[in-house]
Amino acid sequence: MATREAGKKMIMLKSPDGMEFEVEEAVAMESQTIRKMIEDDCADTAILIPNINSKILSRVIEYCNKHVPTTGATGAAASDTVAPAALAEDLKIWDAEFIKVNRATRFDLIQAASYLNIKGLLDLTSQTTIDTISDNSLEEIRSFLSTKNDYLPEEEQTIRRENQWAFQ
Amino acid sequence: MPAAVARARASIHMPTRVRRAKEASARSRRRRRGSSPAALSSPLEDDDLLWEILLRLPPQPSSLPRASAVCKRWRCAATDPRFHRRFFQHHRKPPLGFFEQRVDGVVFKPVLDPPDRILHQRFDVRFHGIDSGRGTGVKLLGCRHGRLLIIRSLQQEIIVIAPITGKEHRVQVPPEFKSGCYVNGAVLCAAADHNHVHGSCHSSPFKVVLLSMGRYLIGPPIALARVYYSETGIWGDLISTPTPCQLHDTGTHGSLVGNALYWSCDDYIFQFDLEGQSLALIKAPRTINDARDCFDMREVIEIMDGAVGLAILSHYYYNIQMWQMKVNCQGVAKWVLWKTIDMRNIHGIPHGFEGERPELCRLRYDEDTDDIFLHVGTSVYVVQLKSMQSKKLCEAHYVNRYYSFKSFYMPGDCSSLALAL
Repeated sequence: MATREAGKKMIMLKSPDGMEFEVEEAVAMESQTIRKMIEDDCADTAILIPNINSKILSRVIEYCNKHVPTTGATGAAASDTVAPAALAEDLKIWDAEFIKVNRATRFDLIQAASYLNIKGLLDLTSQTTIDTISDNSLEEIRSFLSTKNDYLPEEEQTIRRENQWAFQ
Repeated sequence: MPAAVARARASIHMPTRVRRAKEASARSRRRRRGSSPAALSSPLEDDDLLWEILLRLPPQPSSLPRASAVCKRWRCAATDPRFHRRFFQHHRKPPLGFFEQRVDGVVFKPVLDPPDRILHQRFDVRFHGIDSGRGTGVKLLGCRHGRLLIIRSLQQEIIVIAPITGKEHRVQVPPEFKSGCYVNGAVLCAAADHNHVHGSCHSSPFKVVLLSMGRYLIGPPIALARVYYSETGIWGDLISTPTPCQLHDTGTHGSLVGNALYWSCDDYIFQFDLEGQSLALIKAPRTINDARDCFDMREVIEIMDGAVGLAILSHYYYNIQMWQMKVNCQGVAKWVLWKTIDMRNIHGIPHGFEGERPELCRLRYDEDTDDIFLHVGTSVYVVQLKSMQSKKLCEAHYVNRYYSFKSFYMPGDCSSLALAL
């Protein structure tokens, strides 16, 4: 649980399984959904985040903590002294480690990123999903993503024939 | 922290459970971003999230046709025009290859690896009954939005070909353009739908702009332009302007920046305003003299948020200068040097000897990606200006003109189209 830091407005996020996370408002506002609630003055100090369990919510907060701009009021690290390219490279390496999770967790993160409207996290999780299947056969893609093949054999044959070149 | 719970004034509505009943699975599962996340076992069961994920498929031709064979829901996404628009917006159009004008004719040169490598006869102009070899008077004028524009001087006709569908459109050159003067031209998509995103335009209407010189006995030379509209099948009004320069048979590429086409010509640049239907001449920056006799070494480009620019490859291959055009309140164009790129800082291209450029050197701007194609010696490189990295795309020998051909492929676009080994 985060502790209140002097001079920083804190927001309480609550998961359906009863866990509460106190985070800086700036970190929480990495989520456009939460940002809108705060800007519309719909949020007091605690926000219930439905259907995102504490395990996933803590990972999402971890991501937002890392990606929140470090300049201005929340400036923990002095970004002035670090080149933007180096910062971007550091984030890239951090992202690559962050997304080393199993499929179920990644899917949960995709749903959380979409609901909370965190573009960077949605990009990262969706792109990783595609990257893991890009060189696979159709059967492997279905198996990997637990997607049921609902085509009749003749339907699948027709579609494959239609774009035969794409399967060579 | 019970106190926090008691303080909680705002809460997001509890989730709506998605029932797994068969009837529910048949209907589209869509929800808005920011609405409650449904208790789904996989984001792939939610159409919005499925789209988000499939958007990240690589833009290569085989991507969406392959995705459409995974299951019916994937096919629904991969064939939905709304998804296509987002796919086009998300990706940069992939270059499938180059149409080249060689001494022995117009040839398509694919650049992708199998299975995305195109070797289909629709990309061969001979398939369209066009003999483009020496002495046939056939010239490739341009390539844009999935179509190529060819002029046959002997038959006095232009041919617009959409190679992906194999459709072609022939129309007679208007009388003013039959004087024997050189003709330049450009083809572009004319889709009027405000939701249209250029990406797979081969079924949309198109227009052709021709630019040439009028015959004159007295007075200054006159530049002429006329627009052909495929929807109506007619040529628009003749548009003209006096000009101090002559068009040359240089294969100068007509660049599209914003809503205007630009052709470089001597110390000037022709500007054809597609909206205002007007033709104007803009004085080029003085440095253009560096490449005065080498029209292939300069091209009008788009820099920064739609501003018109000019890229000039220096005669001695030292650098690429990029100039930005600024128009003052009197409407007078002024050029400001925007950027100078030292050729030695571009990784991956051959570097010329001191004070000497490679035997063949051409610059071509990529309108879709802001990259630059460089034809150096016998190879074509694509240079990403942001990263200053280059990549060799293909070999090209004895090429007079070359135009990149780019398009997305949608499932069904290319049924029976063979992209092969």
